[in-house]
Amino acid sequence: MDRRMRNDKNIGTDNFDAGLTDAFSDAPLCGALGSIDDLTRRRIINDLIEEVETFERSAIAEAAMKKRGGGVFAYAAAAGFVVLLAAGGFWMTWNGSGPLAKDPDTYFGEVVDCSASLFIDNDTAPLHAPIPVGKAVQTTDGTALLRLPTGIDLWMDEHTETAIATLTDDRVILSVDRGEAWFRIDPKREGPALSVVTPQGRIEVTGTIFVVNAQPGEVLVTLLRGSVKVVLSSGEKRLSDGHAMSLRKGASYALAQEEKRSMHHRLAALTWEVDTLADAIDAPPEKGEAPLLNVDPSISATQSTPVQAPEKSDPDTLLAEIQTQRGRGNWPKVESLYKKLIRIAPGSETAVVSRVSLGDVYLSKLHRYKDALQQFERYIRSGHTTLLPEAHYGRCAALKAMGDSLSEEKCLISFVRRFSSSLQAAKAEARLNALRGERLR
Amino acid sequence: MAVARRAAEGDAHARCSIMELLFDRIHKTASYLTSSRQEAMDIAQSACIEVLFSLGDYRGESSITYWADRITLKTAAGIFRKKTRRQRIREEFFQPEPEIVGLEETAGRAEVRSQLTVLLQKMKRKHREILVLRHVHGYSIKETASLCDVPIETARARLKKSRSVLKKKVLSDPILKGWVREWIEE
Repeated sequence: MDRRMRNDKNIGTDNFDAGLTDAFSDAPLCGALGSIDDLTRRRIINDLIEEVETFERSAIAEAAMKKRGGGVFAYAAAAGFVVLLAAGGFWMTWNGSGPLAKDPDTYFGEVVDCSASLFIDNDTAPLHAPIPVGKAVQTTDGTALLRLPTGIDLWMDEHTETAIATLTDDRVILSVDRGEAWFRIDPKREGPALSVVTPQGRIEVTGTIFVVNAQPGEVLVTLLRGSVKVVLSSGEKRLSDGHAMSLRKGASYALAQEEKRSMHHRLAALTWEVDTLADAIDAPPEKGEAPLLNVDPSISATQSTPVQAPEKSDPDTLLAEIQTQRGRGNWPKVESLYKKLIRIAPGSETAVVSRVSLGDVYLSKLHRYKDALQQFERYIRSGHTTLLPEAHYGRCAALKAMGDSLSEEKCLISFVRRFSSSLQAAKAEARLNALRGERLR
Repeated sequence: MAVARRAAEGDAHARCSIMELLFDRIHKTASYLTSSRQEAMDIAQSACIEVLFSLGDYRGESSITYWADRITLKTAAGIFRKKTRRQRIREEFFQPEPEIVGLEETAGRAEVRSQLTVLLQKMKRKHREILVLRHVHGYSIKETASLCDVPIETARARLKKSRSVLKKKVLSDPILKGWVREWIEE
């Protein structure tokens, strides 16, 4: 029986009372009327804090005004100033300058879309939040679209970190520190020249659409339209559209048709049109075409990743071999077989589904949690749905193993909301309650 | 305590931390006090704003959750008071079926809680309040009396009465009566 109830005298804590306490003792945090989703919750909290701050600012301003005893003239002057400010803002907007910075020295652009929690300098950022210069912008389990002045759109995939590193009159430098970022630069833009820095090199940009994928030990730049110059420690190289370059090796390669198709789908989702990919959509796969350059981030930096001719092994044979090696507990061999399967039949259902199996091997057998996380995320991004609950749950487990309890909690919230009738839902909810209990203490 | 002090001084990050800590609990309390989702959100948001404004008054003499529950109850009472007498009577006697959404859990418990909540929503506010504090948040009778701003004896009497009312409702519900057979003393 509950301690408090034992100590309460003369209440008559009978079976009914004990039964009521038991029934409500593990009531979910969402209460009687169901849960609100995480994004709504965050927006409510941000709105509440903003409301309080706005009230405090106006209260301070009013107190200062009264103290000065300005009277009617002061109020008129303030009103006139506000009108001038509004007129100035209207003129700037009419001029088509777009969302100008509130203060050009500290802010540059704004968040125009985000599908889940977005953080700026480790604080949650609402929609239309201005982006401060020099502060990290991070997505977690959602994507975000940033619009920067004079024709720069930056779309961030999940678990991506970028920043406006530097802003001067003649140059803006953006950084992509991890994850995947898609850039669309208006060819007709005017304004400061644009550079993008990554952990392994710098990209000088003109009018173009390109993608930066920054993983531990490997940065890949893919150009979809226009031209960029890549500055490496070994010198400068130019990248043409329809090509990708590994900054670690300084070598570029032409995108395979399959890669082009995949990128076309992403661009269609973003409604960014690119003519150079149009040929990939209509043309059938070429015979003997070299498979995708394996940009699997699970490959370590010390391994080389040459473009290989198609393998002779077929997926069914590989699967049989994988089962054999699993039975023997030869997990490094299991890992290499799964990677081979993914390499030889990258778009096949077997290969896509194998990512979840490989993620599970990394997580539970090889204890390579970052690699596990990447495999689960690649499955989730593939659009495949058969093992979606398993992939999401695996993601939560990987984050837990990595000790990232904040991301784990967000992942679990999303999981419990989306897959409430899955096999793992009860465990996920128990873990979520445990995390919240730790936080409340 | 330090976080509360920083939040009172205007630290946005500290305010966000306090809200992250308390919002779910405040929303949970509000949702048990009213059957209307909209009203629960109104109560929750008003209570949160009151919490943010009153952080300067928090002295750390009780837990911050206890302090927030107190504010939530007062806020809810204020919102209920503003309703006209006619609205209150209409709601107490002619309530529409409340919106109850439960997560899938172990068989039986979720359904029992869901049905109990339906009955709870049909009770008078003061009875509902005391049952929520006692059985949802697990407060002792002394804490419950303090939160409801009534003497301990009044809280005891009110709790006895509300349990008796709820028990009668349970006994008249044939399905729920079967589920909670072991609770009902013969």
